[in-house]
Amino acid sequence: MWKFLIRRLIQALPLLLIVTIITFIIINLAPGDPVYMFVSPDQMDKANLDLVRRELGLDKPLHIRYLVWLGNVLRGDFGKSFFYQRPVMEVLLESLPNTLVLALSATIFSFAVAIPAGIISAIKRNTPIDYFFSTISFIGVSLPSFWFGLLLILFFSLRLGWFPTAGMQSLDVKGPVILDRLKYIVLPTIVLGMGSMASKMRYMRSSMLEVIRQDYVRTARAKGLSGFVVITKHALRNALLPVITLLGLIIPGLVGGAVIVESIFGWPGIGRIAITASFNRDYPLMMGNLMLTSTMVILGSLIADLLYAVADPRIKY
Amino acid sequence: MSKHSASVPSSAVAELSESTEYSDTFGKKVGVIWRRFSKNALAVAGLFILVILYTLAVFAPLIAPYPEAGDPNADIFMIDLPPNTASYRVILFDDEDFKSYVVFEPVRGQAYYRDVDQNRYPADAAFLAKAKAGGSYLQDEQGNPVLFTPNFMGRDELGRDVFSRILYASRISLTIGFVSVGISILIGVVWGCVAGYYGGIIDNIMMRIVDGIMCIPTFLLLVTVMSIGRPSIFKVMVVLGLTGWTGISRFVRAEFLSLMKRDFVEAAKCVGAKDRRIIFRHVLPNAMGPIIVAATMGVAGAILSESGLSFFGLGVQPPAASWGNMLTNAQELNTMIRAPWKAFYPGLMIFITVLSYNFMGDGLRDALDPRLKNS
Amino acid sequence: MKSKSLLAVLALAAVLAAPLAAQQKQGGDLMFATFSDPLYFVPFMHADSASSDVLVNVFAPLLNYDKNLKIIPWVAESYQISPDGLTYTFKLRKGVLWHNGEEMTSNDVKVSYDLIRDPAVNSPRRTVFEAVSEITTPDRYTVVFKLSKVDGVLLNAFTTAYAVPASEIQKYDKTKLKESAFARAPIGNGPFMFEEWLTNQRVVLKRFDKYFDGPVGFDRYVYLNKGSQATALVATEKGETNRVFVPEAEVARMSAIPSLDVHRYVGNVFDAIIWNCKGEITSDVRVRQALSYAINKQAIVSGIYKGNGRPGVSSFIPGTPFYNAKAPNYAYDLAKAKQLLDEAGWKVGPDGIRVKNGKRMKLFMITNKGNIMREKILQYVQSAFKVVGVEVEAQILEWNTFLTKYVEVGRFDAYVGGFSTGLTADHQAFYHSEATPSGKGYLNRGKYANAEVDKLLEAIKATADTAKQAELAFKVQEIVGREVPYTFLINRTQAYAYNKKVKNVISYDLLGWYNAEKSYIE
Repeated sequence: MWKFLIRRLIQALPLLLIVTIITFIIINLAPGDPVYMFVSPDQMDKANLDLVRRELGLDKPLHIRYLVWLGNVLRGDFGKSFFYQRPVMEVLLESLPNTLVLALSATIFSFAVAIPAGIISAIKRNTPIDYFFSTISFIGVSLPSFWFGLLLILFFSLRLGWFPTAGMQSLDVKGPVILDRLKYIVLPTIVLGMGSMASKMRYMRSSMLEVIRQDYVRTARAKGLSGFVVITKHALRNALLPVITLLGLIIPGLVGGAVIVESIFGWPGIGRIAITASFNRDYPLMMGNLMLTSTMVILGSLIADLLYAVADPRIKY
Repeated sequence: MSKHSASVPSSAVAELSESTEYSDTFGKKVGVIWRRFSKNALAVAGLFILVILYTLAVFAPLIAPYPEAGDPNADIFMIDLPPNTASYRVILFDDEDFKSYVVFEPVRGQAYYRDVDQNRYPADAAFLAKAKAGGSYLQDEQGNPVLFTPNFMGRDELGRDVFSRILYASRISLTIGFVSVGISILIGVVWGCVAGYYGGIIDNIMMRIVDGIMCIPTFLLLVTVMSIGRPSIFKVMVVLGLTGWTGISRFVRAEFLSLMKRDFVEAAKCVGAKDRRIIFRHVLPNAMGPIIVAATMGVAGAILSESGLSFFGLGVQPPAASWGNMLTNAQELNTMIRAPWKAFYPGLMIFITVLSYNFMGDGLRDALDPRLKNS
Repeated sequence: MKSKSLLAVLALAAVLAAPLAAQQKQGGDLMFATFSDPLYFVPFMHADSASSDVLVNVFAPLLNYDKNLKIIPWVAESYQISPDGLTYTFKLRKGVLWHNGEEMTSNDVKVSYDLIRDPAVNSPRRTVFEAVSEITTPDRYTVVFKLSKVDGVLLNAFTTAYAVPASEIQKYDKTKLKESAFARAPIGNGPFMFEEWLTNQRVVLKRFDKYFDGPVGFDRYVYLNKGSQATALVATEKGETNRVFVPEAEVARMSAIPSLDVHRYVGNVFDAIIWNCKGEITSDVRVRQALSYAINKQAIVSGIYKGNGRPGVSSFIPGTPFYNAKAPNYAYDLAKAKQLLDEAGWKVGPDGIRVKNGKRMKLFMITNKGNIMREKILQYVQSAFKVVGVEVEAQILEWNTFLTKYVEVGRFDAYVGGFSTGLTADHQAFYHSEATPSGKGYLNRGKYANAEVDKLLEAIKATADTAKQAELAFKVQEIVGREVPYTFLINRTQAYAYNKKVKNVISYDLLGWYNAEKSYIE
């Protein structure tokens, strides 16, 4: 187990290296030029553009720039954002906690709803309750989040006045801070959770169906165990594999942010920062963000592999 | 009915004997699957609706009452017009306020007109006099006011018929769903099978490659690929397919890791079955569940992500439409509140498509399930 | 149908303002719903509108516009221009305080403007002050700008180029001002002082009680970043915020909400089609004229912009003395369009698309993603041109790609663009043959070149006489109207919604909210 962990962590290093090289090439090949974001239109003569290019270190060949970047990263310096003119890590870490809070709350919400709903759907297959959950989940995937988000704001915030429209905290917090934060997080959690809830529900339902048909479940039932015990003790564990895979896939999203939900709900998360970075060809910020998400991808994949072994003891590495 | 309970080795033999039966001629196999499939009413309904959708897409130019790009000189006066089966006459008249056009709307004998903000007023004599004096009719060649055919899904932000646009859009959206998901499923399943089946170092290398691909930001890759030559929606589909398979491969591999340790696989290996045969005959059918779900969800995802791509200027280009792109164009608050039909119908189409794919997928999974043969 | 009441509202507000000015009422927080974050608060380094929205309340300029667009002294008590136009002398008011309590002096002005002019600082305002050769400070309250040549529009620059406290700004490396602490927490001399900035959440300004033109109304001026335009509008509708920018599509609906007042005023913004004057097809002036006739501008204004604007005639803004309403205009006329295309040798081919020497008349037209109105215009124009037998391949491109791979390198036949212009007569940026990407850089991306226009434009800049400038500008508009490097589509109206609880709000055409520091909440 420990050996496996250490081996995987060691493997992660060359992987990260390769990913950064490929991404570095891609973002530099992408059309667009950060220099134009720095120069006002009346100074876009070639001399001035070249001057700015030199200042940003963009005049050197690609491989030199990569090595310079890599060298700095190894010393813990992720560089300065072109766009914000602040250190990359400062910009990212400022938004990261907000993103984590929202992502965690949405993930918990979606699992809390999806797993029971998926199980019920599977057990009561082809009954009205199954159709109800199925319909909900397909509406969930067909409804773009900007639409769903605005609908919720219009209804719950504007019409009913239950929640604030957008933001993360009040200007002048009255009462306990935690209550104030809760008011703001409810709607974005629902919208962000809804998207992934649908697929979790479907995966859960599908693997439950698979497991219910297995003989040992039938045997357990035949032995007279109650439905609930059978489901929780025997079936659930084996039905969890796809859900664990999903979990592994979701982990990078925890730090990736969600641009649309963040924008609709004015949430100061990392998604908005990242998209601004791409639009402005803010290379240092894009690379910093890549490091963050890549680390989480690798972690997610590792955690999923560990959990497989927990859920299904037959799996060994 | 016992086939492969965890403790009874004989079940593996049963499984084997079944799969020999299963591996009869291709035609017979398809026959069996179809017989099972056709018993599932929902699955057949899903298939039926999909056939209709694709047929509509193919024959869109014949069915659509208006051209995809609309008619600029008429449409511009019918921006955001609500769904209506009545005919319209358009009258244009300029006043100093530039609130210059109204739509003349005969409803059950009573004439109404609407202003630019969609407020409706009865067209009284004073209005008609004003229109005649100060305005100009939109005329046909003979000088008669133009009469418009109905538009039962309303009109969009440029006054184009939503129904016609939806028909044309289905060509792109249905193709995106099919092509990119098709590519992803194909690569993802094979990749996941191989990694999960062989395990060990092969699995490790293959899954690290998957990790690596997941790290690379798709949008940037798309921007880069598009910049080589002219952007095209088919390139988008292919790139989406080529980058979208990583999740599926992980699902398939996870199932394989678990299934490979089951007795029936051990048994198959013992009797010397070939790798390919074990993968595709014995293990894969048991891992169909997540694949079907991934495919269904993937279709919706692909249709919607095309609209996300348009933020980067990578989606369909005008005058072409796609469902995702119609939804994005309807993002203005005004649309949400006052012209919801512009987004409702494309959304409904995506919903119907995903629902049909899902019912069909569910049915297909059951039909392919080796354990359900006689049930 | 609110627009008619526009003038009435303004007039009423002006009447109300008079008695209130005598005794300033105070109190309340102005909550401005925004959806993009500022970048850095160094007044001469920023180029984005979110930053300038904040800076305008933190800093007070030397000069200002009055409601008739006349330049008046502001932080400067008076100014004088020598008869030869080469010396500008500003007398500062005594007792104008920075937010840190120090008095503003001539040295602050000199240091600030020297920074703007310093190439090492690379301020986006540098070229504006190119004519300035030396700044001197004879005494504590006097600043003298010496010019190397006459600059007819320099005076306007003093209304927006703010000074900063020398003692603060000199703490930082002048080449790294954007990343200085000042950029995150500015110290100004305006009606509100900076208090807090939480990225992508809010910027909070507090009333500055020692403002020279005080007392100030609001307790706080808060910019709440609501993330998206739609949410910002809903927040204002709900009353969480009390000021918001209203896009054209929302003006009618927002005007109908009882708790809101929508102020509309003429903006210094216009949308146009920019023709590639060196393009294979579009270099023919007849083609550009013909296609201008093929566009129903009135329909664009009424339909796409929902009546929020006027059909465009010129790059000069209506309401300024330089605007030539009689410049050649192209009223919607399909017959003329077809006739001109025929004359240019483009004959209708078998599939309805025109052909000349075996080449189909196909234009490559682009616009940038993100401005939904311009996206709509592009689509409208695409189908409108088809009516006269011109095919358009349209592409909506992401901004950076649009700019660097298409517009700046001339890879287009035409593009739909939006511009905001200054209130001055200097329009070299649009028409001068050297204001091209391959030349000195700037906005003439269609590479329009006309020696006479160049001369006229230079003459405008070389005189400070407004009447003379107007006369020259009229000529420029005559010529470019005929030669059509741009087809002007619309001069846009801008609109802001205020909660009715915000009192004493006055907006003027081209200037917007004129008295933010005198408004208050009841």
